[in-house]
Amino acid sequence: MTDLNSFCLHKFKRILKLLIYPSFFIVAGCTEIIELELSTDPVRLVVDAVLTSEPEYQIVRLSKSVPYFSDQPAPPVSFAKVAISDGEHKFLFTESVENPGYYYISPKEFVPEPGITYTLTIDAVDIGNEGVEPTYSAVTTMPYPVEADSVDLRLNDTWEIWQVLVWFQDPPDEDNYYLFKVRRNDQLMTYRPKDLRVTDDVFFNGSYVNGIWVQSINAGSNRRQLNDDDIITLDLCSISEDFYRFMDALHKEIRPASPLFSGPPANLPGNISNGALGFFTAIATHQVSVVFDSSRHNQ
Amino acid sequence: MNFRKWFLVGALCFVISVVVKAQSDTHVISGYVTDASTGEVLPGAAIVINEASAGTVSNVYGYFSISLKAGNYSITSAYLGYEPLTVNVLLDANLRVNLALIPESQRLSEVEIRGISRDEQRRLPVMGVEKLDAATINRIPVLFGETDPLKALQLLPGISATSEGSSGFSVRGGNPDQNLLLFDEAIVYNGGHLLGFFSVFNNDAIKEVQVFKGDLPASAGGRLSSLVDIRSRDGNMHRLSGVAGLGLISSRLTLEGPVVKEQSSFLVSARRTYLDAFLPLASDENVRDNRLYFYDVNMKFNIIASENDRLFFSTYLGRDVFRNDIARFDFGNRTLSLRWNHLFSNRLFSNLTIVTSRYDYSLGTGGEEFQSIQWNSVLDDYSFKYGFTWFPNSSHQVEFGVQSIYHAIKPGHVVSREDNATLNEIRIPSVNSLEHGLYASDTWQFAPRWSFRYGLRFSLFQNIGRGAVYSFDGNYNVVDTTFYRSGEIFNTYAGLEPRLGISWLLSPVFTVKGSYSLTRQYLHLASNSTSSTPLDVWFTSSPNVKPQLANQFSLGVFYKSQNNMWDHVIEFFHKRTSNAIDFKDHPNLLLNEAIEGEIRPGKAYARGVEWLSKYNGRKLSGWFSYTISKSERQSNWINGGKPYLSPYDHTHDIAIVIGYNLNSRINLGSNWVYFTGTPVTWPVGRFDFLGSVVPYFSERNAERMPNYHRMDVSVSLKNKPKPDRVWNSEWVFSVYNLYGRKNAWIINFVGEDDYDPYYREAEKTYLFSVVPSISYMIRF
Repeated sequence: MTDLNSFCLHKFKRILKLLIYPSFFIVAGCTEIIELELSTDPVRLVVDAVLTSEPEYQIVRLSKSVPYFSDQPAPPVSFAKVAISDGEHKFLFTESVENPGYYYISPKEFVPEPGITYTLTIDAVDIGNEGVEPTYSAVTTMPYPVEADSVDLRLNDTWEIWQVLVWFQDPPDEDNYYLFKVRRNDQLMTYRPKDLRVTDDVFFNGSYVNGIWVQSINAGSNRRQLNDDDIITLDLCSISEDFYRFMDALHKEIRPASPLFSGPPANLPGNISNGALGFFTAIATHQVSVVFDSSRHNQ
Repeated sequence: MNFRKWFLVGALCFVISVVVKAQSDTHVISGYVTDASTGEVLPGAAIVINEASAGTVSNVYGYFSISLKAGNYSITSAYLGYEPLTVNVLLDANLRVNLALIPESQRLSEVEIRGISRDEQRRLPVMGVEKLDAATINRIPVLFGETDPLKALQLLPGISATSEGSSGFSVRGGNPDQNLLLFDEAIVYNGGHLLGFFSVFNNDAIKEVQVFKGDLPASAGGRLSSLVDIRSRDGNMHRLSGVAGLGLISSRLTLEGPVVKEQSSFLVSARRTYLDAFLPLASDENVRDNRLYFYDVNMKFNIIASENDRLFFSTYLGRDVFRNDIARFDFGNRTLSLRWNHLFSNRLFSNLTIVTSRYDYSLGTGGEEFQSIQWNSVLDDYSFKYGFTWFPNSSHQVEFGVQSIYHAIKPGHVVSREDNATLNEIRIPSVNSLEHGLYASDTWQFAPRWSFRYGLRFSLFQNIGRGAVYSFDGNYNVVDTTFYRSGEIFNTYAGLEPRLGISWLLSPVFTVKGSYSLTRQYLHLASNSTSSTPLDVWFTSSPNVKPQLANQFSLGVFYKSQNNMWDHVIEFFHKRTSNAIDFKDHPNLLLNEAIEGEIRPGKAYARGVEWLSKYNGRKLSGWFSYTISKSERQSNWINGGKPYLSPYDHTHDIAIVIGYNLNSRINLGSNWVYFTGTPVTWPVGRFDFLGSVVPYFSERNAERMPNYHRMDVSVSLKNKPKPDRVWNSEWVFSVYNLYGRKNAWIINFVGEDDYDPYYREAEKTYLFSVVPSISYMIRF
């Protein structure tokens, strides 16, 4: 059984907000920046480990949590022993010299594959300077990719965006979870978590997905953000249910809340042991492209 | 059904014992207490026999009955806001009297008449009951000048708003869905208009509002925290009259009058807002072309069919509409109730109620929108209640009856209106259930200074097919589904709900009262936000969701001064709820078939002390209320199993309400409220993930919002009275939040991601700064 908190529900919420915004105008809702003292929990290890099926460098980033109002980037965690095992082999990651806290492995040594279960282990980290170095670990299985048939763009004048539409066959008899990224001429346009879209398949389980709106590209008022012959690529990523829940929760927590829709905030359901924050997962990507044509796409 | 058998046997024994006690040489004085100017019946009026230490209280339909030995008596009847009335009677046979009380506002002379010592009110063993009449509600300054019974309630001890400006409320730390909101005996499922800023109850149509904070009468059940019993007016029996009001955001009109004089009357009350009129003022183009309004209509017709029969027919229809080019949304309640009062004898009063009520909402994209979708949700209730009031002798008053409600919930249906839509139709299966109640209670004056109220309610809840029941494993994952045929009763919960109260008149001014009640709740609202939204999803108890159960004890001391000007109440309460509903982190409560998998049941505790001091003088009147309380929850699956504060926990809650009659034309009103900030969950750190800053949080509800306080004032100005004028009018000028306190509605943590992802700050959203308003009202 899956929940339905997919983009369709987000769409409803978006509609509601559109409708409700005028009410706030009436009740004269205003905002103001205030001084607020927040307490701070002890420092924790943060793991940012999203592997992909692409033949590229796989990266695990380790950092420390910081006080909420700190205006600095999170400090890196260096000299850790980072390894991924598929049950038979163990792949060791190397820390980057230029970018401390970033641990990598080259595609020549390791490319994750669908259906395989991977275990991440992190050793030699004494996060609280207490003389203890527990082994942090996490397990994930890469889902099988789902192939997209085509992608297209459609201009929405009201919101000044190009809606990115996709066509694909959703596999029947299983629950699928998707994440959508957009690239323009191989440059990722959706690099921040808030730009990523995730969905489950409840609204179309087992059906042919006939051009649903999965991503948006800001068109601006002059429609100049894309040029003719730009190649727009959609990454249709298959993700695990756990990662879907994590991203969904992440989206909830980084968007502004309103007492109308939001319950109490809560921590993201991470999958790293020993109280570390963050997530370890492997996603399977399939890409599909369309060439931008202003005569067609600016209609 | 052993319970039921024993219940019936017990009830029968009681009936026999009381009948045997009733003496044959007595006669019955019975009748109705009414308003002399309109013919409205007055519920809860005291009737005292001055020669004997006997008395009673009129029931909700204004009926009373007292058995006395033959003789001469003077009977005094009193009701808040009315001149007490004394009549002398010679009782040598059964006697029917109509006690018509004159409203104080129509008092011709300035002579004080305060004869009656209202022993009756002191002695009633009912606790935690507050009564507000329409006139009191009218005097309280409110947001946009829209008088609102639910907001008036929030100024009483133990009752607080769920969020700024909301008509939703929490009673003694309970959830808003634990309040039974009855309008002419029909259950109202969503009491709010426009995101809860206004209540659905139009004060012009209301007679009175009575709140029972936990010590529910046996005749009511199905909710844990409170009963809010709202009764509409019946309509003027003597002449055509009306009220028209013109406000800043709405206009309203009420017409009432006899159809056949002294025999039947009607009341029609309608209200519509014109909120959209303000939208063109908005700087944002998107806001300007929105449609946004709500309306409600109350209609009531009643007929005195014979000396022993009276029929009431009432209906309510209310709807909110939001509409713009890309989307529309509308929601509302409608209820239809038919009631039949019948006197089987002058000692046995009966009322039969048949009600249908519906709450529904519909949300969708506009017609031309790409991938248009529509979402509908409906909750229907069909209920039947047959209640009796029996006055066997002067020391007993017995209520008994039976009730059945059929709930049909269609939680959600999403459909695309396009022919070749990609999106599957989604239909969350309907949930049908039956809720029954069988009750009896007796108020017994067993000694001159003592009275005792004891009652028992037997409640029975049944889930009916067609339905599906999910089986969950220990982690709330669905492992199996069982389907049931249409009409099949596949799950039953039943239980007894004792209600006890005792009252001891310690001295002429002091009364000590104690009470205990057990309540069960079978219908729950899936909501974890503190603001009311129209997207209500109600779900029933089922094999997976046990009924919520609350035990409450209260103890109080009541003081009423000899001249009736001062009332002081100090009341202590302790409430324990088991199977209390709360939800896991990040629950999915909308369009979720397996919503039961989101519930993490636990326990809830609330305790506190409430203090209310009321002054009712000639020029000055008002009250001071203070509550100190704590409301906690605990669930093994939430917050690591550690107890956490309820989102409705307010340690201190103060309200001061003052009204002052400057002269016969000018009234001043003011109130001030203060409460401890609502518990919230805030970040206690942050981390980087995929290049974004992600917060991590304290334990649930471990921090608090800033404290809330606000002052409102109003001035009302009546026109000069002229002897030949049949109408009178009134201007009301009011200011909500006089000193412009920016009370936080929510605190968000924001930053400019594109500019500096690491810089975050706290941003407070407040809804209302100083809100002046003006309204005009004319009565004829």
